[in-house]
Amino acid sequence: MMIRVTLCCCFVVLGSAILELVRAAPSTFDPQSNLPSVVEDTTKAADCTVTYLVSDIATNDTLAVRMQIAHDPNDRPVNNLMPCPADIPPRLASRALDACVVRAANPRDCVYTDMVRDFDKRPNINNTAENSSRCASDKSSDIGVACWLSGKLQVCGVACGDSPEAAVRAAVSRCETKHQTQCPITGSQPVLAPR
Amino acid sequence: MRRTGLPLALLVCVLTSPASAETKRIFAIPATQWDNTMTRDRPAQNFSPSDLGNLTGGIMFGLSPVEVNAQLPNPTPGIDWSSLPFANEYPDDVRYFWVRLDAVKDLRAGITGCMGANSYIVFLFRNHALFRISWRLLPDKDCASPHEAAEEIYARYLTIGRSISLATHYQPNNAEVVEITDPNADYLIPYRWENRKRR
Repeated sequence: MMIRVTLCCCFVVLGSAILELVRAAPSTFDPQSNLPSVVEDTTKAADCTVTYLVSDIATNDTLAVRMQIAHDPNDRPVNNLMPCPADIPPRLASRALDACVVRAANPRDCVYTDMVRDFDKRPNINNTAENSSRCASDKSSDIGVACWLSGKLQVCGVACGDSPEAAVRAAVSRCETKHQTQCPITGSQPVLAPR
Repeated sequence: MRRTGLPLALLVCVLTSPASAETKRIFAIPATQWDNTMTRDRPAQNFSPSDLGNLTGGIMFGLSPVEVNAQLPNPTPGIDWSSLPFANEYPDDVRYFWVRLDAVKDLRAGITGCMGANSYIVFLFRNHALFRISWRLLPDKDCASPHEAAEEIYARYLTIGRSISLATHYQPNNAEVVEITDPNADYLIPYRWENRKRR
């Protein structure tokens, strides 16, 4: 008799628990709805990183300056990468250039690494482009540079790619098209900082 | 026709022949973190003086000449503030002592390129405290260009945040100089060695 009462109680408790679970579940499966965050982001997605190349034309040293941008709470990662803002304010470029300025013997020798045609004749920052001297992590994994030597001055082009080789190929193509000469001095860096 | 044929062929040959490929080193520095409105920034990574000490074998900014000397593999006898010569390129009472690059260990770690037999390191002090270390690489008959070695030193110290150490690289005449400077050295930071003797 005692056993029967206990079993009966167990069935009542179990039954009500199952009913609660059924009520909590969505009535229909909606593939358009957002997935719960625990499924969407099991490992921390990398924040957007915009990497600039800046150069000291006295030494030909080129610095990769990485700017990590905190994501907006509404942003969602794609392929474990947070999206980058559509517009990057010029102050990020200025700050990137500062990385060269504070280290250079002459601050006026600091330029963005993507240089216009005839830069060798007028080597100053006005003949370089900040927006084509950068790559964003949501669009490409690597930033590449290709240069040719004009006397002791390296004249360079910058481009982005999905691998070090692709970034270098794109940079060579950009440099050779723009400067109408071979650009055999090449290098690359990942856009994201090593984690 | 014959006269112009050979020069033209040479010109075409020069323009179409592949230039020798060379790898360009790109120096990575510590990242900057911005907020999501991109109005405020800070270093993405925190560094401490011990990070610098790990690279220099314990030599850190603020040490006295005696303390720096004691950190070297073969300390020079008789080093103290009053015995140090003045560094005339500075507008202040800056003093220094130097050691040959081949006489140190940690301060030439990571160098694979040739350095030049007469290359040396200068320790610069203000108010009895170290504020700059200067690697001065001089070419010689066995090392026509110490550029690669300079790049290696520069790359090594660029990994430290500039709130702890400011790395610079410049080329006075035919020398290669890499320096790390205490960021608190304020108005002394822009002063450079000019390699006057080699002009």
